[in-house]
Amino acid sequence: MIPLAHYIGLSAMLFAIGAAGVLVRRNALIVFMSVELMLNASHLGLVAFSRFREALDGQVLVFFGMTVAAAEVAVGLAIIIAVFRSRKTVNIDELRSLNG
Amino acid sequence: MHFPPVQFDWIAAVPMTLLSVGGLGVLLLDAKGKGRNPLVSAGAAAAVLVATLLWFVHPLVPHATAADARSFTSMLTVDGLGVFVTVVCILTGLGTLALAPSYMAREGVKAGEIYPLVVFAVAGMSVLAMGTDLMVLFLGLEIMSLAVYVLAGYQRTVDGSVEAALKYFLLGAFASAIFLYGITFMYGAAGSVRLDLVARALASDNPNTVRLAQIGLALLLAGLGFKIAAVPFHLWTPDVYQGAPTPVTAFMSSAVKAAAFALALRILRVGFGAHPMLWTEAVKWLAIATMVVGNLAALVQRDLKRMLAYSSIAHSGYLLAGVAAGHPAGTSAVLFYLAAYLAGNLGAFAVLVAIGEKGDRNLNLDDIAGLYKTHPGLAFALSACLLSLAGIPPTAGFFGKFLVFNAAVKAHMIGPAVLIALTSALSLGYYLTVIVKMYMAEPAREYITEPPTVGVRLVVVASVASVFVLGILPSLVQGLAEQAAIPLP
Repeated sequence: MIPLAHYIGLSAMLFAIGAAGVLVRRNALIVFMSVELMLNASHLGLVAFSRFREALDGQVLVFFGMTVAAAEVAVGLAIIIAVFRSRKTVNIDELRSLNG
Repeated sequence: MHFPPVQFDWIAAVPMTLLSVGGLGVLLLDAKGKGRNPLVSAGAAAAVLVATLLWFVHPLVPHATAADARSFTSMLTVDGLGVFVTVVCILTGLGTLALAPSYMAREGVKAGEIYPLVVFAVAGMSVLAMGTDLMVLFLGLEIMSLAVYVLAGYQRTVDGSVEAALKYFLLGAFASAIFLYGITFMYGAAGSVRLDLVARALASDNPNTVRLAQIGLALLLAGLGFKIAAVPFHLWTPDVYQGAPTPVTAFMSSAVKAAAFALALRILRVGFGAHPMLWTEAVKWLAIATMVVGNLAALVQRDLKRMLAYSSIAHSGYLLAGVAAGHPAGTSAVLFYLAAYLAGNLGAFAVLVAIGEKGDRNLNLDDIAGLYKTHPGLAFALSACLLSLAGIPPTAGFFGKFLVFNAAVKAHMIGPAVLIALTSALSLGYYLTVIVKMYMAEPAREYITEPPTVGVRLVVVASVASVFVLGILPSLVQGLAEQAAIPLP
């Protein structure tokens, strides 16, 4: 059996890749995709801990996480489309109408 | 096979059920009555909020002093903290509903979804305030945040508004992902995401449990830091507060902050109350950084909304100092401070709604010069609210800061206590500039602002009245705050 640490290591790597993507990439869609990767890292971790503890509740929590991720997609894509319609770009660095 | 009897006790779920179902009702009402007077939707939404408020004062409802009502195997609890913060959020929601119609009419926004969205956001806040299970708290956080992302981008043809929504959404989703990863580690540590079971698992002092819980707590704190706009997680705040419609900014800075602090208190007190050494230092340094950076950055702002955004960051710092100051003095100080901050902050934004012109122009420091000559009432109201935010007696803000300061001194946190006093003095720099401009300077140009509507007037008067009532008779709310704080572990 693959030990728990491997799963958690993979989950941590996914999370780190996602976080790096959020911080480094400038396209709003890619940033959003990276956030989804971070959520999936959490899901993998929950399932792994759940299996390791031989309890089901961690897997049930993943359903809630997936629902939230789906709701986030609905709102997020709508906002990105609204930005593209008014600005013709989704590059975060070009969105600078607000500053003081 | 034998299944233990499952008791479905719905009583703690009544407020969020009322709010969610009511919000759906308002949405349907709005969909059916296209082009109708927006006041109908606003009134319906306000009725839903008032109904929830009435449920709390209903004699059948178990109160904080009695045994707490719990639902869904202790995932939701109607206790003092939950009720106090929910009421603060509902009052902010009512204020937003009163400000929104005239603002939206001025900006030429026809769509009426803002009213149900405010109700949905308050529903999420009530879950945040009463949840005692990390996953339920996460759901509450998301219900609130998703509604507020949409609210921030409500003027979707205006560049600033959609830009604010995008920035808020991306960083908010990022923070939520960090928060969820924290929950994952708490589950790994404790085998449960219920906060009381997390606390029990921590009590065993198993090194593996503690190590996993430490990672989890660090991630939870980072996620929380984004939501309450603590330095160094505050970078989105000024842009979002400036770009969002003014009534929404008022809502975000008061209600979202209150709900996020309820979340912080719940996690740190119920989950980690017995292990303060795991988080007190971290929260203390967050508080110090937030107070200093927020106040210094506010000093150089010219745009009033942006200035209030940095002021809101600074207030997060004072509140964090209260959280770090421990129990029960710090906790009750935080709760009182949230109520006091609501009064001053909502009032200040209400005045900005009243004096703004289309496109949110006219909200620069130079534009309000001589406001006293043309609108003496509004100038007085803004002055009272700003003095309360600065913490000058006899206003609510003074007493809030006094309580936090006191709690910090009692907890032997001399550094943060001194900084509360110093940065408050510094904050006079930007609050007084506004007041001096309004009273001493000559009007730069003609004001073409229409007289404020009844809703805006109501919010201004109610805020100014609460600023002074809470400042002169603080015991009215302080007693409630103490009652709410003491049952927490």
